[in-house]
Amino acid sequence: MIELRAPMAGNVWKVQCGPGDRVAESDAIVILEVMKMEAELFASASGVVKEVRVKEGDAVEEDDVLVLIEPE
Amino acid sequence: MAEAIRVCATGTVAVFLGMGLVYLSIRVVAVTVGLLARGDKS
Amino acid sequence: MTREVLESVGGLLARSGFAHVTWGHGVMWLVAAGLLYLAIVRKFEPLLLVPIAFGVVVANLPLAGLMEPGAGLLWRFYHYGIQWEVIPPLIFLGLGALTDFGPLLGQPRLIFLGAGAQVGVYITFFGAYLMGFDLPEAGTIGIIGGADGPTTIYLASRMAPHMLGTVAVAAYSYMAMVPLIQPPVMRLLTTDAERRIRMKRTRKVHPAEKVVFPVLGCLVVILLIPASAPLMAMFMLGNLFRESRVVERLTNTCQNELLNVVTIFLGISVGATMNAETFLQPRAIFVFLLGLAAFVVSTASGICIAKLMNLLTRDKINPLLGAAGVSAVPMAARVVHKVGAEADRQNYLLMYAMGPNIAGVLGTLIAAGVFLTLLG
Repeated sequence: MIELRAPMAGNVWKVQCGPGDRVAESDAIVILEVMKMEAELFASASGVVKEVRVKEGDAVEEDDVLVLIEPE
Repeated sequence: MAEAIRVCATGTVAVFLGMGLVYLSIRVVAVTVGLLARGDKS
Repeated sequence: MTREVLESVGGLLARSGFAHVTWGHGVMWLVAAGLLYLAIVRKFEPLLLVPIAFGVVVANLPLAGLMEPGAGLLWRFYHYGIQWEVIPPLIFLGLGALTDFGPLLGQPRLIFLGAGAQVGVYITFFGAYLMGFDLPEAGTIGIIGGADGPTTIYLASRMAPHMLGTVAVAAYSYMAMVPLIQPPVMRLLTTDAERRIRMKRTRKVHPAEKVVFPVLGCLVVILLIPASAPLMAMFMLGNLFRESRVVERLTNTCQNELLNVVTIFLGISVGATMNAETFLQPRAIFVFLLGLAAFVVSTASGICIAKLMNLLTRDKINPLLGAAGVSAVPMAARVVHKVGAEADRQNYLLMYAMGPNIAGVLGTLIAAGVFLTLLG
């Protein structure tokens, strides 16, 4: 299982994947809003999304796990 | 001209000195707070 | 009867502003129109450029006397606000309440990038002196490279009040243009491999450190450079309000109402100092050119210091972070993040860049204090 963690504290702006989605490496799957700037977070491996632990508007701390991906 | 060079050199040294002092105070505070926090736990 | 009325109307018109408009006024209105365009359409620092531009318009209306010493309304704002050195420190009180020193405390070595960018201030100072400006004027122009509006205004009001409007407008316009000015310099001075450097994780900062820092930092800087006291003291007081977490009402006031109120008076007073005699001079063009050079050189010197530090340390610093050492909070940090992401889109530099960004504010304050001590 691969975890996508927040590289910095911020608010979740958009979640662009759901459980069961197939994502490719380097797909932008979550967009964080940090200091009024959008930061795209990319899947670190291609695979199937197991779990999405945040929803749009959530505040996240650095290192929080956002998405779990089952690699293939 | 000599005056301008003097200001440039003094200023550059002063800025690095000032920032160095701020750096040192950050480090001292970090270490002190770290020690105190460890003392609390034991 | 008809003739008498016409004569009377003619007399009124002769005493109206229309009869006293000069070409200089007209040009200043055009300048103001340009600033309003930049602020309203292009969204360049609108919070400052809108009041500044309006100040320019109304201060350049003949016979209105808004800037007449001792009598005019805008003159009073300018005199009691800026000449008395009240407004820039109050702005810093608000900025302090808005600043999170966390990224700086977490990576303290990045503070030297904020110092490195000030080298550009002194290089520009020297360049301006060579071009024939006197020492206080050259210092005021150099500080534009610090990319800090209130510090620039504060220093100008103390050392070269006749250039106040020009340097303020130059500083704020270039700060808005940071996303255009910095990236070419950054790409030129760094290799692709350097731009890809990922930073070591920031350590966790204890909340107590954030409370102690504004007090201790204020103490050591003011002891070293006493002339930096007004701005530094207010900056750190605002930050102590924020980090102490026991005076939320004061923090909120500093961040919002107070900052907004003083911004209005800062803007309109600065705009009002711009008149045809002081602004429409060939030297004003040099101020703008040197101001731009100051931004470029400061960006470059910040990057070079980062590379220099990389020669000495094991944990490499991404040299792009040096560009955030010019203050321009937080635009410069965003630019660093974007340029870094172009090279490696999984490299998140934003939070690291905030450290040198804030250090740049402290560095510019110290640089201004040094100018005041040596030249003021």
